[in-house]
Amino acid sequence: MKIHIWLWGMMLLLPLFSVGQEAKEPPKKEKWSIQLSLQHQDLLLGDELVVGQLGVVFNAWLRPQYVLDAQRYVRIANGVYLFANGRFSYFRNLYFDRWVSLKLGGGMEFRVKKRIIASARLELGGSHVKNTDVQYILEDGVWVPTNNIIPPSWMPQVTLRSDLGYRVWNSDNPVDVFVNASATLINNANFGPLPYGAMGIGVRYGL
Amino acid sequence: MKRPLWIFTCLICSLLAFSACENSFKYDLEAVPEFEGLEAPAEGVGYQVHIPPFPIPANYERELFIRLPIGNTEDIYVNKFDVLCRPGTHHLIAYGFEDENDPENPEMGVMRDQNLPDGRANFNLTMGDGAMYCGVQEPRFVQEFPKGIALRIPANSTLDLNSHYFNIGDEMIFGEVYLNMETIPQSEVTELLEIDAINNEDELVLPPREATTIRYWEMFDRPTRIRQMFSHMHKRGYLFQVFKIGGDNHGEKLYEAIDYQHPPYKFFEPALEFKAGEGIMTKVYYNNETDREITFGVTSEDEMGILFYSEIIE
Repeated sequence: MKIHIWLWGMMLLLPLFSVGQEAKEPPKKEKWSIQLSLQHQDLLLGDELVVGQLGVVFNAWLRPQYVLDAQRYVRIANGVYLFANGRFSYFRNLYFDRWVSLKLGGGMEFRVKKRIIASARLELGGSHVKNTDVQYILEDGVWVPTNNIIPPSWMPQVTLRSDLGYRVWNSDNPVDVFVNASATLINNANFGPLPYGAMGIGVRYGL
Repeated sequence: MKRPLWIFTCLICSLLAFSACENSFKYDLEAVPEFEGLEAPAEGVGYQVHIPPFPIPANYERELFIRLPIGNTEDIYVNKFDVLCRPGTHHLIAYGFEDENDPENPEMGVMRDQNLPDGRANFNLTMGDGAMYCGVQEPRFVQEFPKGIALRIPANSTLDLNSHYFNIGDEMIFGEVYLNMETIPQSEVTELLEIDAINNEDELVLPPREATTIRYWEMFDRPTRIRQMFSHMHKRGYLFQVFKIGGDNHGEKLYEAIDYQHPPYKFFEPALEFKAGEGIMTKVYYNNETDREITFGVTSEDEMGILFYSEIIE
């Protein structure tokens, strides 16, 4: 298995190692937070799809996903912070499609020695997906790229995500930085369920 | 602390935005070499569909689909297919559409690639779901049926032309396709053909560094008469045979191709006759010299084992 799949899998499991670490300090004014994350997301086993090409004309090294989370703590029990969150994201899957996603979910957050934060969450929702595979039309004898004419469609998806963070600014409005990983299963309208994995970084601001 | 964080965030955003730019195949029309195409049949004699020159970048494999109108306002009966492709073609197939008015059908005149330029397969691709009218595996191909034999194409049909090129050179080449269809009046038609196929997709697994023979058979559930056969395999297939199953001539070899690039289009006179319960078996010999397992697939690095046959419509 490729090393990046291992890294991504380990990242996803990291919050499990934090279970049992009691948080001594409950959040004070922390009720809400917003988080902006930037991720690279790709089909899991995407490399396996590169079969039979004599070559690749344009490599896609990064497939960026921009994620905005709003998170609210709903309960603190035994040092575990339970939260609900809503998420809006935009995924630019180069040469293939674009997603605008809206998901709702919840999860658990653990605090270790006040500054180390680990969380895991499950999110359900859907994506408005527009196919963007490059197509061509003839103009003055030359084939020029055109917008894909397949109408956008709505595709359900489920995401499992974990974040590992560090509190860099400890105040009433704390600032945390995170690395995060997620696994998403999206039901592609043409092909069926497709698994995606993402890794990235994020900044969270407590309100 | 806050300032470096914002700077860092902006840097990452810029990097991502910059890296997320897409490219497309670009070329200069003047770079397209001269090529003498096929003249269109005269009015009343036939129809032509044409894919103008399109680029195949260096060291790349390009398979595309494009839906084009034939221009026939009435049913036509095609007795002769005349095809010319620029060099480098792997195949050309002309598909029809089951329902010309299906909103899911692709837009007319839009070139759709089967593979994405980043090397991935294109899951978004849809293709003609109707009858197959013509399958060609050489740059120059002429298929003329004996007098009275034809394929019927319904009025106001469009074709989904599937052209597959690969370019193993260091410079961009260009593909181009001409497909002429010459027709006969309905009154002269004595026999109608329809192309069908069987393939060994479910059986085709070629272990690395091994020679493998794949057998696949299908039985007919009704009396069937076959006029023509042609095979399709890729470069790791070196022998394609077809045998009769059942009946007095059980085991008889009906067809053989010893070259994946130039398989014979064998016409049977008289037609092969199969009773219900009899069938055909394909036996395809492959040699996988690579270190990876090869299975059924659409690219030249995958394999295939398809038998196309023209059945007489009763």
